[in-house]
Amino acid sequence: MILSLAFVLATQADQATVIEVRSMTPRRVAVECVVKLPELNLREEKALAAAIAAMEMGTRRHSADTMQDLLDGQRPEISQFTDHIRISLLGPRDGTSSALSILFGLTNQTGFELKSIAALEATAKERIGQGYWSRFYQAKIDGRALTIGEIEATYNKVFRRNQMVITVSGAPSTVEPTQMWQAMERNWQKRNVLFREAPSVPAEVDAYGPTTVGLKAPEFAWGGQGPARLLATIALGSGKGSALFHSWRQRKGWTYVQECAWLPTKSGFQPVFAGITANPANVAELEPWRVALLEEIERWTEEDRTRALGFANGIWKNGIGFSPFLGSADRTLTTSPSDQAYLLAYWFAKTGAVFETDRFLSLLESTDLEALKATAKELVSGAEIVRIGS
Amino acid sequence: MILAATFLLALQAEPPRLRTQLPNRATILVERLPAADYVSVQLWINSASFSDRFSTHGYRHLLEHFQAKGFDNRLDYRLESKGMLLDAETTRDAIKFGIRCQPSQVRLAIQAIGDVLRPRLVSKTDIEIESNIIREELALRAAFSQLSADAWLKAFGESGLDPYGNPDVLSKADPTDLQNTWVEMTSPENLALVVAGNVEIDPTTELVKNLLGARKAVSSVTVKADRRGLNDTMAKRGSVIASKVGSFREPGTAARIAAGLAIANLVPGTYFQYGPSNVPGLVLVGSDEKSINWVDIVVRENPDNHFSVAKKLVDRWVEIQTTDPAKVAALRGRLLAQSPSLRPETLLENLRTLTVEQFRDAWKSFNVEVRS
Repeated sequence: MILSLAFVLATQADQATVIEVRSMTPRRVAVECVVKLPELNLREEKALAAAIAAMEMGTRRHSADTMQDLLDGQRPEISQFTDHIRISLLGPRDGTSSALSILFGLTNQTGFELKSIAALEATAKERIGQGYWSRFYQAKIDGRALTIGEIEATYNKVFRRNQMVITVSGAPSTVEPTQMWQAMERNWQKRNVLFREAPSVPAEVDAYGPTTVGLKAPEFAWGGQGPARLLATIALGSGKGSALFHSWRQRKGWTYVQECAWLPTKSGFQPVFAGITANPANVAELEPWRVALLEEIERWTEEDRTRALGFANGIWKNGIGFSPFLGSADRTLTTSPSDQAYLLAYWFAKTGAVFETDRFLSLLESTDLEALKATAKELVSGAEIVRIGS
Repeated sequence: MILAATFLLALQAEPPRLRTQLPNRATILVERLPAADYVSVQLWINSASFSDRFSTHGYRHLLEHFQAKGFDNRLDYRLESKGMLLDAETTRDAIKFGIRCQPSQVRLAIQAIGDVLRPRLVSKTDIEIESNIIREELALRAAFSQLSADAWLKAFGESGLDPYGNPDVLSKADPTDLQNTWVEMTSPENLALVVAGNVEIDPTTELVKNLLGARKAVSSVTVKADRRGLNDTMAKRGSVIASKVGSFREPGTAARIAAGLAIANLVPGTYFQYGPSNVPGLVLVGSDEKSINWVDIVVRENPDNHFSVAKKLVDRWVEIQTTDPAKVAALRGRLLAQSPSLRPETLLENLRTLTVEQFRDAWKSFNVEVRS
């Protein structure tokens, strides 16, 4: 559910865009920053992941402990996608200035905590393509060792003011967030990276055991067919009334977990339908997973379209969760104030428009049953089937 | 004067709520949260009399799966068409069914709870399929969840069995036995229904009364939860550190929650787990990573240095438990299902008044590791 009062207040070419959302009874201030990514090669992707790992360890302005203290016990969360970076800060109600100051420190004037570059490399490899959903990108990792100069150069290439959209969601204050940010931006430096001390070596992470079956539908740009594809995605994969649940779980008994998401890509989105199984017999052949879904689509009636529309309403108006949009590499968006603020920033960065719930939902309603079935068949028939895990 | 003023402020800050115990001993609680943007309707079924044993391990979980589907297997379908969502959970003490909805949909949500309560007679084939789904569910558990189950079993033996169940036992369950168990388990004295959100208290209470008031007691025998510790120490295996706690009402429990949150904060990506209960349990901190030496962290770190952040983490934990409708309903429902007299205020007050000395002692109680 998106708060209704959203103002886009700064859109100058050399500045970050700031969106203010005013809530009457906020308990927290949510500051969300989306940084649109330029074209990056494999090596730069790894360097960026290493830079993010270093950013989380503290900045020249604020140590990791100070950031946590200013954010009332929370830590900044930074997620890397193929088309953008998400920086998520949740602070106390009167903490807008501190949160923006932390954001400024992270995106400019960062001090990397570094002695062993190998430690950052290890963390970077874990970040790329290891999240629950980001595994579907099946990212390649450049194996050669990074240099400090490469991390610095990538950091400076990525964190540019005019590529940033910031949403500040909280109570009205005497100094508006846009003014606060613009005052900080006056001290923005073109190149400013500092290295110091060593981080601890990250612990080994177990590989995820069971097998994931994923249907990766063709990638497309949000536009004319977007709403129909979104409704078809929900009908296929969101909720216990979905085709995935009925087919893969209830009829076949193949999975306990089955869900869908739209992976962000450079050109738009890629719908993914996933199920996880621990029984090797279930994945001896993958094509039956597609066939089962196609059979389910054939059974759809007007009730299925109504359910999908109801579920979409539930996601974006009633806050039931299970949005197909990602909140991080591991999870889809929730209705927390942070995730709502992030969606505003991301949708603006991606489409150039403010996300308006009612208008968005009305777009979905124009898809009738036949169009819904045809779109769903197209998504499933055209999907690449992948197997991830043992 | 200052104390009195503080007390008055605290009273004013309390959201209005009404707890009602019906003549048939079912409990209702409606809490009005004017700032909430949704309503949580939760049915909590005390299953202390039906706790898991090796021979029936997972029956409650299996029943949760079946009953959540509704009498015609289409309850989710009906709710989702209205933008509502049902979730269900089986804990060691109870089974929960929760519905998230808008204030205007509370009547529908309560009707759906009535649907969940209707006994179903499933087939042997249904049991076979659902046992396999639970087998899949078990296989997908996070490492932390498995370690947690190990820790509970070690600490409490058969009475600490994890609620997931044993698929081999479940596949042999008899349909009629399951149905009878459900009928007995949902005898009104075992039911607590909580509604939390921006709702009117009196009309909402009436709606729930209409649902639960006519239910008749099935069995006069109510067995209290019995969870006695088999031993006070756990074997050193796994990447979990745990502290045994008594009732949620004891000050030591609050201190261990604070210490657990602070210890979890020291390692990114760490889990913290505690479910308030009137019977002994565990506060657990752990990670999917095996290489973390929890004992070393607890011994090396000076708890005094973490008291300040612990207070902030506790404040945040309490804020979430007392303002988010689903958390509010879960905290109160979980306790009311155990006894209508149980209220979380003692725990919240103990957390608010936590001293550094209590925190220090609680920190030291996390001295036993479990490693897989």
